[in-house]
Amino acid sequence: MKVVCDRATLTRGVQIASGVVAPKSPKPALGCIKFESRPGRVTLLATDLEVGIRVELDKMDVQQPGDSLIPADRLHGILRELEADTITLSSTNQETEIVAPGSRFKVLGDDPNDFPMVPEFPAPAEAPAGKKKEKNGAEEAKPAEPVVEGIFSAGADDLLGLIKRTLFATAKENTRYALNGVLWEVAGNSLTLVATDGRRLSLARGKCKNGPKDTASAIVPSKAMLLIERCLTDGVEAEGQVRILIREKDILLEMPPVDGARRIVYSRLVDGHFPKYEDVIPKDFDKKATLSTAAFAAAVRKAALLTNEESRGVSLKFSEQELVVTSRTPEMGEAEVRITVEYAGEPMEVGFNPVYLLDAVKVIDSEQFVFNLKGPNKPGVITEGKLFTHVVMPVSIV
Amino acid sequence: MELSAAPPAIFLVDIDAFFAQVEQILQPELKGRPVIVGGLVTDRSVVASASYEARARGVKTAMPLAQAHRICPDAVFLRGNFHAYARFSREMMDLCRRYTPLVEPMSLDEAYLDVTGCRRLFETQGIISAGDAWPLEAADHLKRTLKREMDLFVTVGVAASRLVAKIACDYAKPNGVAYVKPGYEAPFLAPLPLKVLPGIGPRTAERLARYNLHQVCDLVRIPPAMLAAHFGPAAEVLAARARGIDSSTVNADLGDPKSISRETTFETNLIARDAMLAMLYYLMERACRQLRDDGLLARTVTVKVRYADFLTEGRSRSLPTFSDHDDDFWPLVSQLFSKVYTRRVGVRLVGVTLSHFGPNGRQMGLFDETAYRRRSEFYRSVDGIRKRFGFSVLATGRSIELLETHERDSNGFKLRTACLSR
Repeated sequence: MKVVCDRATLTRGVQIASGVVAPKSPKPALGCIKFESRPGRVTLLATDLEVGIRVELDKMDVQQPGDSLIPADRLHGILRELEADTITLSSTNQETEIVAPGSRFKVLGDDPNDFPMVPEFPAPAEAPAGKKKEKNGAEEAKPAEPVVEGIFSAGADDLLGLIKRTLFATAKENTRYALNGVLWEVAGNSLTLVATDGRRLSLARGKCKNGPKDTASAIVPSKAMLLIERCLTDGVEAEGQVRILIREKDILLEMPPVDGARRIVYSRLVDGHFPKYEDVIPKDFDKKATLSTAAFAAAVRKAALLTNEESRGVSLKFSEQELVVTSRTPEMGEAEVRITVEYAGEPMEVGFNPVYLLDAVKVIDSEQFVFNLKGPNKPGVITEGKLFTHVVMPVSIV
Repeated sequence: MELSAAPPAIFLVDIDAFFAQVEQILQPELKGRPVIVGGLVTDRSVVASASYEARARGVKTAMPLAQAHRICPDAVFLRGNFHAYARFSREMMDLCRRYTPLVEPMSLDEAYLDVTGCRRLFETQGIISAGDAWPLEAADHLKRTLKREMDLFVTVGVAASRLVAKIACDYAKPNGVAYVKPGYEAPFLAPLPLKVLPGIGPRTAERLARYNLHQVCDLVRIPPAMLAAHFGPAAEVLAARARGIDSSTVNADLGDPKSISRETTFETNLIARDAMLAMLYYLMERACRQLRDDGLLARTVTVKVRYADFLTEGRSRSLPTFSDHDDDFWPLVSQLFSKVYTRRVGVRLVGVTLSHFGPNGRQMGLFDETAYRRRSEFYRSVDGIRKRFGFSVLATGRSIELLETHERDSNGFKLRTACLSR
């Protein structure tokens, strides 16, 4: 394999792919990025056997096609240090030589045949990967209608919004495996993402095209969700369409092409049952507060200054036209912050973990949101229109 | 807070030869005889506490019982009655709280008291006269009250700081009161061996001895910069301590425990996993009950294993949320045990510690709230039944396996040694 590469493009691709690489895998091949160089195109592949990515690179001059494995961390490190615009990669056996003006590295890799297969979209999808090279151009032509059954699509920006509103609420600990991922539900033209860690639940509704008639659902692991989020924030056009295929055990996503180069994310699905989330979203509220997003976040942040992990809660005292946020921690002190509120219902007080409140409010774009409440020791529901619903359990006042 | 020129008055109250003394109080015929608590001579255990009669013959804490028996064959060896010790400890602390609310228990037999603000009160109660030595009078009064009401001998160290109070107490043991007047810390400490200072263990003492530093006054003479060159950041603290400077306060809030431990030494070394797990379950159960009694929630659990060769291993894990339920902790305990118990060597001791105590409010769950509440009610009932009819009336979980191997009384299984550290 011999390729003359644009360094910036290669670095960007390697950065994205490195996010998948299993750093301490017993299989040395998994610590590598695989280069598949074909005439006119280089594809980077990385996988940890659960999540995988294929990154196509443009601006590559493939002088000699072939495959090679290069350890991800070393390659990344070298690329970071090089300044040249173009560099040359050439591989023989399991060694890759990286040459830039004034520098030469010989990096020992592994056998490309040892690298696991990173699944691709089924064959018919191959044809219409319409390359339309028009940097910063106005309208990107959509790929032709997918041929493979089950493939649906969602707008890149819409999907990013859904991810942003849910991913933060996944469980960080491994107690319940299904909670370490985000639930996707697709039916017709609606795509719903749900995430929960057992103490709060985030639900975001969006649109999609050509979704299945019957609801299809899948739990996508957090690591894959993070990877999708990264791909979507890396130069993808907001209006571009993400092609998505959910199968029994895995999911494939093709990002809108960046400069004509595609990126495909693959992930196995979490094998488990997502809790029945509809049951825990309360519907009957008798108290409703309409709050300024910024003012509420600021008030909670201020009150949270005098809390720690042991004290946790901030208390929200709602009354007509006023919300008082207070905190009290024995060894630290106490805080009291007042803001105006539009409130309907009996005055009440309820305690929450301030981190949960801030996490939820952070992803609200609107200037105002609604906080639905029932009473102390009862869940609160933060909503932004119909698109975002966030249930947060209180800290019980013992 | 009002600025007060009066120097602090700190007591360190320490019960002399605690376990042994309690035994002598409970069995007056033992008074005046060497008493060793820790086990019978045939037990392969160590001295937990020795009365001063035994200490005079050379018996030391942590000495193997067999050795203690060799040097003091006429001693009375006892396995100990840990419930009684806990009761005495509680009563002692309560009595101290009559003098000041600022009581910080350090262990079962030791507590710091801050009586700085009590001078007026003591005066009106007639405990002290008007002189400047009032802390000494108050300490003496406390000591006499403990003797009169509980028949307990204690030693009290009195000084303007915790550090000096502690050293004074060690100096005055047993059955004494020592008062270091504010301003006289340096001359008091000067002639004492360096090892009286907290932070100077045998190894540091040895290191210091190599520089020909033996007494506290030797250390005071060393310029702080030179000390720092040899001892790094610890030097500053060391230099301050050598001068009797210590600004830490008596923190009565620490009356709340930082951790709850239950551990026990087996009758014979065990290699059977199941038997150890059964004991761990029982110890965890006891710790959880204490947790609920104190109205606390914990997050972290530690499992400790001591092998026959005294190699001790411990590991901790934390729950995602705070809890006081046995069944939340048990999966962690059993997992930790398999991580800790890795050698093919007999085990002499196992223990469970709960720590990282939580907030007053509990983060509620979305999916398991009903189950949680039901379990809370279950444990409340279990605790209630046990409070009324004795701990042994119910045996739960794996501790059922102990029924065949361990005797019980109303307080639960009879363990050879029990440790109630908090």
